Amino acid sequence: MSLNSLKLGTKIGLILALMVIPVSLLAWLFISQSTQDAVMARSELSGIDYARGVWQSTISVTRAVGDNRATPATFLQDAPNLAALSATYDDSFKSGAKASSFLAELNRLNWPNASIPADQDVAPLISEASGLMSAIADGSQLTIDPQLDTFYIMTNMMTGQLDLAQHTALLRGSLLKLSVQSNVTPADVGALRAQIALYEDAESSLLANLDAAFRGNADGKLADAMKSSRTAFADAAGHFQSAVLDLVTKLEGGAAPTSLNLSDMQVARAELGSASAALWEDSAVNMARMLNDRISGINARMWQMLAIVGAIFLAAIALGGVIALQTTRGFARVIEVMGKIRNGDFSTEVSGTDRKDEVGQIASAVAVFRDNGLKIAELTANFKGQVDAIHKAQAVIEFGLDGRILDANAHFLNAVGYTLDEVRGQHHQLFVDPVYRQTADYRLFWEKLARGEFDSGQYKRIGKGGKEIWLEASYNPIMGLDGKPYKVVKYATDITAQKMKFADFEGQMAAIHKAQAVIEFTLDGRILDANEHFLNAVGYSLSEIRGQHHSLFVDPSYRQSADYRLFWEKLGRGEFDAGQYKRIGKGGKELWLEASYNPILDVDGKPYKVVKFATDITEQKMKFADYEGQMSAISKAQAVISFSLDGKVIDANENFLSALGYTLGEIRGQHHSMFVDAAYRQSPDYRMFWDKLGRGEYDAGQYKRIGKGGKEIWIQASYNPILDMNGKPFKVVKYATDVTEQVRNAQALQDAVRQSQQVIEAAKENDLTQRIPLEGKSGEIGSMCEGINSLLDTMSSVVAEMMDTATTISNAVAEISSGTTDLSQRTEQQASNLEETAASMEEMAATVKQNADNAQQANQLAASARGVATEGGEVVAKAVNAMSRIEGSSQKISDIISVIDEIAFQTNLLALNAAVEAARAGDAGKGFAVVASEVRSLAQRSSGAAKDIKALIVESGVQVKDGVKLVNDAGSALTEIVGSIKKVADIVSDIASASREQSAGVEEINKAVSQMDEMTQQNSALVEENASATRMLQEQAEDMHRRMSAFTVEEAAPQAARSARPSAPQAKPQAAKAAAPAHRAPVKKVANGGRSPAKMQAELHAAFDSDADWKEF
Amino acid sequence: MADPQDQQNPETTAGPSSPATRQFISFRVGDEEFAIDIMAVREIKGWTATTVLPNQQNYMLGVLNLRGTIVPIFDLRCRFGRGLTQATATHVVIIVSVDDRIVGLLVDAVSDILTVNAVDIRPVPDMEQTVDSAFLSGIIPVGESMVVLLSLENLFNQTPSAGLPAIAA
Amino acid sequence: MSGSNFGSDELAQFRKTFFEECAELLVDLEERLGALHPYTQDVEGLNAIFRAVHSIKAGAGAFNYTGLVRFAHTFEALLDRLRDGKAELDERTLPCLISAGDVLAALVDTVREGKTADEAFGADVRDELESLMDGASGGASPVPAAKADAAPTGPQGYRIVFRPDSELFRHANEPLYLIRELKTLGTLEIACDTSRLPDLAGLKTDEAYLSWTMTLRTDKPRAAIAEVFEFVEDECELIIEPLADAVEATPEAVPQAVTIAPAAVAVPVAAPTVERAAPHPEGKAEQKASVASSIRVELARVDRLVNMVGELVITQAMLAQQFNENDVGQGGHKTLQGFEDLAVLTRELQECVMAIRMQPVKSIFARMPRLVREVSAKLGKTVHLEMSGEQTEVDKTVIEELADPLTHMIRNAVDHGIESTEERIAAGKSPDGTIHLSAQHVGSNILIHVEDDGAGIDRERLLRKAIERGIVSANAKPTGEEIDELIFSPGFSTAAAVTDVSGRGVGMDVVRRNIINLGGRVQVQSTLGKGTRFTLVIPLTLAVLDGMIVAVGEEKYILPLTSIVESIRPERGQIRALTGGYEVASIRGEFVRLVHLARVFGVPQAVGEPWNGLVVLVEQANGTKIGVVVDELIGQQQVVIKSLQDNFDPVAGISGATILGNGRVALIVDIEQLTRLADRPHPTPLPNTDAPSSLTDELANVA
Repeated sequence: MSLNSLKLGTKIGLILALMVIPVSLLAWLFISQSTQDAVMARSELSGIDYARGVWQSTISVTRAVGDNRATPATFLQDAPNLAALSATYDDSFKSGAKASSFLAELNRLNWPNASIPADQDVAPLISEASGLMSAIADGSQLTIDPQLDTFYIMTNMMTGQLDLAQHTALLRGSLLKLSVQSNVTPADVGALRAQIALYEDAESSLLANLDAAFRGNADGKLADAMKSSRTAFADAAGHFQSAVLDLVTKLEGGAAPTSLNLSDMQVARAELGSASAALWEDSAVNMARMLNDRISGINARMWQMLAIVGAIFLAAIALGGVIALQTTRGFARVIEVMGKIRNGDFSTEVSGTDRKDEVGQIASAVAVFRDNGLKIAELTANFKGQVDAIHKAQAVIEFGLDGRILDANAHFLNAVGYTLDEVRGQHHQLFVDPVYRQTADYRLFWEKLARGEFDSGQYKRIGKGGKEIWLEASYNPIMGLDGKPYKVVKYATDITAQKMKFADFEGQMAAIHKAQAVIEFTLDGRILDANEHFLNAVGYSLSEIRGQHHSLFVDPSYRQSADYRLFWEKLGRGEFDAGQYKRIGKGGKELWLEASYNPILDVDGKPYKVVKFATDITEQKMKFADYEGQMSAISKAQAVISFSLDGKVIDANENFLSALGYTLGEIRGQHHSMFVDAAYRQSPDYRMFWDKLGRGEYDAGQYKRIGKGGKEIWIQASYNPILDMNGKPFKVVKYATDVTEQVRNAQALQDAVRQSQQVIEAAKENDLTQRIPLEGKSGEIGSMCEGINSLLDTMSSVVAEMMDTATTISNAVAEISSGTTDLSQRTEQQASNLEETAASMEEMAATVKQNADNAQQANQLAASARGVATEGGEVVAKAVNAMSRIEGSSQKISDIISVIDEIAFQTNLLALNAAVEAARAGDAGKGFAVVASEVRSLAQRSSGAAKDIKALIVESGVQVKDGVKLVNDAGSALTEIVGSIKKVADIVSDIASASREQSAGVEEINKAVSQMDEMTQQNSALVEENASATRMLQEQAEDMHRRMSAFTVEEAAPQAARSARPSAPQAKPQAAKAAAPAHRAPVKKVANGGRSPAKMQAELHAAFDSDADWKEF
Repeated sequence: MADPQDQQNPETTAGPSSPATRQFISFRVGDEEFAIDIMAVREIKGWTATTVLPNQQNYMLGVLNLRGTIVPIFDLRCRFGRGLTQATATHVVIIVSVDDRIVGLLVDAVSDILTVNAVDIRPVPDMEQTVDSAFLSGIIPVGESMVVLLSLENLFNQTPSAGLPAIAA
Repeated sequence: MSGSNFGSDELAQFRKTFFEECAELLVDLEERLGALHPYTQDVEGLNAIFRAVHSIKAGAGAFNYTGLVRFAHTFEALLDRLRDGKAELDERTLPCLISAGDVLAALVDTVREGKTADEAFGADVRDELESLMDGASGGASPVPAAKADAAPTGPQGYRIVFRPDSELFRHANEPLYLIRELKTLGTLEIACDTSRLPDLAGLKTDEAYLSWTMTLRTDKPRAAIAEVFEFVEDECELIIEPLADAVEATPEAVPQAVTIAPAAVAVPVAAPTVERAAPHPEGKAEQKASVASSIRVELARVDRLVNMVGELVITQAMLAQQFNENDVGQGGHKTLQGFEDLAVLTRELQECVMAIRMQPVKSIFARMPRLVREVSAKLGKTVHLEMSGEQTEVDKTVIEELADPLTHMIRNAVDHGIESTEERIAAGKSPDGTIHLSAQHVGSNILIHVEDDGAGIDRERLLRKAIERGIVSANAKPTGEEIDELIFSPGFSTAAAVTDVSGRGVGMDVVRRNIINLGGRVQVQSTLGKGTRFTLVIPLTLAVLDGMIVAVGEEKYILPLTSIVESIRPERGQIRALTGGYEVASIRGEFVRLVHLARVFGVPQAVGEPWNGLVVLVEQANGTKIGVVVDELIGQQQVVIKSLQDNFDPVAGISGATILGNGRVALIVDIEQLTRLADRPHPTPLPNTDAPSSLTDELANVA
């Protein structure tokens, strides 16, 4: 429960109620303190009650001492019931122990039943009483009594009077004791004096206390109340004192103790006892009275205080009530006024504004508030009017922050086609298409609105029936007074129609953009935007060029030019410019744009930007340039002339003109026919030629044309009818090459061939005198003709030489003929020599046969020798084997000896060790040392013996080895002998067979010689034949000579006087043919054979070096 | 083994008959005869293969097990700087006690036990020696030749087996 | 050099016996002192202590160790008073007694080493003992009383100069006996003149070099003195002359001379030292009869026995091997059985013999309570020491070597391990620290734990310190265990302040080295705020070792089995060569450095590549693993460790040798040194003595 929900009155009540708690607490504290004081006083009263019992008992005993009349109780009206008192108070006073010892002392005195003898010492009792008193005083809190009067009274009652009683009793006791003594010493008297002094102290302190009590008494009643008893006591005490002093004086004066009359003293003492008792009782009474007074005083004060507190408290409540009432009333009035203001009634007067307190301040504030309210109301009315106006003009719809429709005006409803009832409470998403409805954008849109952020723009919305609507709208979150939005008002204008129109434009623009490169500039040429086409064309990205100047795209020279500046000035004036522009793309790429610069005018008709639509025509431009280049190239290389279709010259290039020797002026406009010879000009062919061209047909070939001055010119040309756009020929262009030279050459060739034919024909007819005329022949034709001429020259000289040769041959044959005859004679001579040879060969054959027989015999002998030698080898091998066995045995013996040696070595070591031990053992080892020494010498001897044996064995081993070696040598020698014998045998057998062969060979020779003989005789015949053949040859040589003479040779003609055979003309070329290869062959041979190896190598190397394939190979 | 001075006369084998005589074991390293005091000798034994200690001087041939005692063996020839001995079974190891250490000396052969009168021991002459004279404590003439008396203490004390390279370096 | 002198041999023998006895007595003394508590009347304990001190004093007197006698006497006097209840064992007395025990031990050590104790040594303790005695008795101490007694008994004095001839010894007379005889006559002061003693080298054992000048205070006549020397009169120089200033002069005139007077009582006891040797152990045996009966054997003899048995084991193995090698056929079967039995017997015998050397660790553990008490008192901490497994036995050598490291570790635990009382309270721990010291057998090792419940190792601080000192590079990222290991680095101490107890940075590395020398390892486990536990793993004995025999080329080496983690034959791909000639093997993701035994030891004809041979993975004492490349494993065998250093110098990488079954010596590889050896640029850089430089030249260089 909040405090705020409590009314003001209740709040004040609550405060008061809370105040009760500390007040009560304080009151309670006060009461408890007072009660405590009262309890203490009551406790003191109890203490006095107890003390009285003790006092009375004690004083009765002291008074009874020496009074033979009675028991102590008789000095009291009623013997106090000490046991009962003790039982009552001991627990609370914690005085049990003291009480019991006091009671025990009383019992010892048999109080109150027995009389007390005069000489009874009551000091112990008094001191017990005194102890008990102190305990009581402590226990009952008497000792801490806060008031002076009661404190001193208490002191007397509790200690002072007992003290005095004690001293009184002591004095009396001493005196009684002295009184029965025979004499008195000065010490006794001194002691007595001292007791008196103590008594006096007790008395005076008692009285002083009393006086102090009186002085400290607040109401002064005490002095009056106790005056009599004090006086009585003082007197009695004085009496006793004087009585005692009297007695002492007497004793000092030398009176005999026994003579002393104690009765005065006794009386005084009794008197003092009574006075003392009276004083005590009086004190007790007064004490009780004072304590009772105190208690009642305390109570009275307490109630008084409580009453005051109660009164103040009530007054506080009353005051609170009044305040609450007043305040509440003031507030109530203010609240009433505020209620009215709330209801829009600003006319009410606000009362209580004159009050100075908070209510007054509130009232004043309310008054101000009311005034403000009044102003606000006026403003609101104003706003309302405006809002209404908006509502009339615009579509208005209101949404909750969650997007639910709160309200919509007629405009809006018209626009969307819904009724208000249909849309109210629906979500805004009703108006957006389902796709957008699901997007994060849409959610964010509402979140944004909900945050109080404004949104405006053109929105596509869906009307009833899916109708698409475009709204120019603003969403206005409306803020509450707390600054938080609580609803969203949307003002909208239906712009669907404009949007549609715009969309149309946009479509068109998009189409343009799709098709063309578009770039937009500011009037000063800065790039605003460019589309993809444009960017592709120039190779830049949009970011690279945006903000750059258009000059980026032009070449630097143009950029600097006035033209360029003018260009932009023109555009700046809003003038249009179009054409083909050369522009520079990224990286210096040159491009051509077919473009239009369109200054865009604003509403006022002023240009504000320039849009350039461009088509990249770089490629076409390039192609064109390419063609142009090709054309000029052709023009440079060829003769070109163009004609109209009717054959009139339109143009001709330099090549053409120079070829024909005309100037352009001479031929332009002339008919083509001027270039052809007259005949052709007239011919139907020529007409047809042009008809053909006129049809657009192409013609090419070698044409003869007439140049200036009738110069004949041959051209290789093509006539190309050029077609117009419609495919109709409109002119003819002729590309020609001057081929006059070639044509001429061909003619010369034809001449030369013909002449050559004639000359060769003549040569066939053996006329070697004909020659080809060389004039007018040059180049290859000339050289060919020259060649033929020189061939004929050569042929004629050959024929002449051959005739010479034939003469020479016939001469030689004659010589051979005589030589052959000579040979014939010598052959006969040889034949006879051969016969003699044959005879001696037969003798030799016989000798050789004998030799062969001898060799056979030797062969047999050799074989038997080999057998013997082999046997010897086997024996030797056996000997070697035996030797090596001996060697093995020696090795074994040697091993054994090594063992013996080893044993000897060990023995030696043992003996040495024994000797060492013996040496170390000193004298005791002497005998042992001898033994050790002997063993050692034995070991050494056996070692020596072993060594000797070893040496012997080694020696025998060496000898055995020598033997083995010798035997081995013998063995190998024998083997060698066997080998040698075998070789000998082989040789002998070889000789034998060779002899046989020789014999056969001699036989053969024999036969050959006889054959030779025969052949010699045949040779002789052949020589004969030869001689006759030579004669025939001679005849034939002559015949040849004759035939040669048939040739007509210029210089040789006179020589050819011999008769020629009919076959001569045939034989001649044959001979020539034969001569040619015969002549060539040796040359070839020489060419091959003459090549030195070195040169060949060099050539090979060259081939290697030159031919790459070799390397691979 | 065949000792030219084959001592067989009873005088020499008689042992320490009088305080003036001392006994020595003579042995051969290469062509030279050396002798050491017989009292230093603990045992004489034939060569057996040793266990090589890693990273030692090359004259330190390794250790042998001599009835449970690990005894280092030194090649005396190598110690004298004349190359390693190609030890065979007939080579002899003299086990000696030097300064409470037991070590073995590989020698070619033990020749003899010499009993020599103290007076017969000659001091080392001041002459060129292949072995440093610091190792020699005297010369004993035997017949016509002489035997060099080795001082084992010097041999081992002056050249602490591990300290030598440091000094030489 | 070695000669035979019966007398001196015998004396040396007696002396040796005396010191052995002393050692035992001191151990007993220490133990008893440790058990004492202030304000208790442990009469039995005090008696034992008194007996020990008294015995030492008596023996020392017999050998004329005057400093020792004097100190022991003072000590004994105080003990006597305590025993009789004339003095009270309070907080002042007890520490004094303990330090007196220390001084006594030190003095014994000094004289055993043949040195003369510094006069001032132990004087402070002796003074304190005396002052305690004065305080205790409030009157005359026994010493002055004895002196007072001595003074009147010597009304007469003689100066005796006794210079024996060599002849005297030849007749088998012993001056010592004569002097002892003299002592029975009265108070004797002896000064020995050793001026004629030649250098040891020139010493002739049968010559007489010593002479004595004695002052005898006696009431006996001169004749009585002469009578003592009656038999040697002709073989010595003897001067007996009465003292002029007999009574007055002596105490002042020879203040530094040893006064045997107080020992007069002891003399009769001390005199028959020789005989005492026997009865004493008997008495002791009686005393401990309930525990075990024992005989005292010289350690050397036990060592020899151990050795012999070791030999026996080897010989047995050799025989068995040779028997197996030679095919024996049918009859061999029984022999084989016999060999097996012999093997079992020898093994048992070896174990028995080994057990002889075993001693309970109690002998070192017993010193620890006192150490803890002293150190903790000095540091103002309260630390309890709990011990367990004191009866665990281990080889005597090991025990001796263990004392120092253990002392250090305990001290460390009290100083560094246990926090100050305030810190402990702040950490919510009991204000009293506890150190637990325990020993146990695990396999053939003994495991000793030193565990404290202190602060544990502060790894961050440790690492910081290590980086400060450059022990660890600043960007290293060691694991927790690696950081703990840092406390074993040389020159490392984590103590913030250097206390006089520890913290000088020499400590745990020494501990580790000692333990490694014993073939053991130290590990540390620590939990910050909970405490630290050191674990020592030490082989039970240094005499035998479980080894793995590996072959490298022709050679065979022994790897200690305890170091071996595993053996593998790696794939070629597992091996990677690093720059600087290092080779590592990747073994289950861990990179282990390879050490080629063949390369390190220069063994020829070994398998070159690890994938053709074997890699034995061993762990070094600091936990590093390395892979030792060998040719093959031959087998596992318990081997008897032989020292190479008996007869040769230490060999790098070899910790010892043993003898294999074939009688050949095999070398035991020192795993710890391997990496260092492998790091050397050239394994065999030793110069060749075959080189032209002859020995002569070398020696010339030396000269």
